[in-house]
Amino acid sequence: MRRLREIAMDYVFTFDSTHHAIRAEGLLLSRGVDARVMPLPSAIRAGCGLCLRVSTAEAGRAMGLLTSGGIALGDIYESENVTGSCKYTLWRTAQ
Amino acid sequence: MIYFDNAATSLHKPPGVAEAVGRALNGLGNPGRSFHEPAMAALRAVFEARSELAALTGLDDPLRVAFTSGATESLNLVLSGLVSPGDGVITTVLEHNSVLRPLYNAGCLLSFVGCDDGGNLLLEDMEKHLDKNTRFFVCHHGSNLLGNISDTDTIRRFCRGNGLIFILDAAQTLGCAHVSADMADALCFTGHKALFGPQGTGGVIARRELTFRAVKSGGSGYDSFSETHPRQMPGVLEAGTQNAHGLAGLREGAAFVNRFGTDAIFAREAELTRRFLEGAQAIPRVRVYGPPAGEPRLPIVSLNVDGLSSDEVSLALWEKHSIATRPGSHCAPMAHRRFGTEGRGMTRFSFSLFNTADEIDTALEALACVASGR
Repeated sequence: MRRLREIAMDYVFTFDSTHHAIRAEGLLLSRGVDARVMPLPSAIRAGCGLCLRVSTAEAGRAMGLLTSGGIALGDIYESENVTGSCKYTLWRTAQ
Repeated sequence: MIYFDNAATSLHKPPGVAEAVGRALNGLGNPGRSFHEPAMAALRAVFEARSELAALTGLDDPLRVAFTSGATESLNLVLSGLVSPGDGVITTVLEHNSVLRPLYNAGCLLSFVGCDDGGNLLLEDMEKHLDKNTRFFVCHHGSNLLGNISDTDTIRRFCRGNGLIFILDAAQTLGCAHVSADMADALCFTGHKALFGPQGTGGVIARRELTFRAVKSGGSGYDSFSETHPRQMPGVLEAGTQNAHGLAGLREGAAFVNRFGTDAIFAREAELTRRFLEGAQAIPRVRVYGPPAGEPRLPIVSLNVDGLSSDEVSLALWEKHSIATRPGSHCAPMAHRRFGTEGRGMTRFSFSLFNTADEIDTALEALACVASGR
């Protein structure tokens, strides 16, 4: 089983589909960005799906890599852990 | 046993294909349905298979590769997803039933390009097939019966010049001949022939701007509350659980082809084919079909023996010499009508990278025995 190191996960990148999410994950990991797949939070959109968590420190670089890599980004959210439950604030809308 | 039925299914797979399927059976969960490691391993395996196919066809975006159960499903999804009743479609007399039957079902207006006695398409007078309804050109890249390779450059130019969508059946070519994603607007392929994958794998490589109707609909793993299936590639052509186990094997097969190189594979198979062709043409009572010696052809040689039907020839080759060939009509009814062989069929020999010159020579001796009545 592949294990990723624990990271401070502050930004959530959404995509049009799980296919786009896995492509984005591969690109970011190959460039050293510690991206982590998670289920699309129902607080963002109900109905399944995958998204990527990226630390605050790496969010800007991740966005640049995905954009230059031709991967269509969905909305990006800032996540904040509030007493065990996450609160998601829209940070950037899909282009 | 000598296996010369590779145009149906390749039997000898490269090292690693079977092992990859075995590992997948015991290690992969459901691709794209959750985020835990077995599910993610499955989704990554499917994506890696897309990436191998993209690399093989010079494609920069692996998500333009959608997976299906094979070329037949690919052609059904593409043709049913694009062609509407009343559309004009140009196709050819050499098509497989996986092209012909979906077109017959589509209620479209068909016009057939013919071929010469060597099986080469008559592309000089394509304008005569055009009318105001014509929207598509659908044809094989390589003939499964005769081994001819279609001139896709000429067809693509014709399509672009006349605003037609070009759909290419690459079932016989992807893996053993040069195929690039930009050859056509949509390219349909199978995994179990020259890509050395398992049966039940195949796909579609589509131009980004192409808009399909979702013929299949069902689970997608995302947008679950939408009443309609996703319209984007690759999801638009993929409903339900993907065959990640099979695609893990296809990935290994395609990776082997990428490492070996399709030019090198084509050259090696062309040498085996030339050896067989020259030998077969020298045997009395044997008639070989397809392009003349020296012209490009896939590793496919179909023939007949005077006085015998193709089933009799194939049966004798198998029972007396343990050589596996394919008799009959090869799901290409119009091609057999064109060559007057709808009754007796043809015996097809189809070679792979893993066949040898010794096997070719043994088969020629066996064919000579059958042809002489021994």
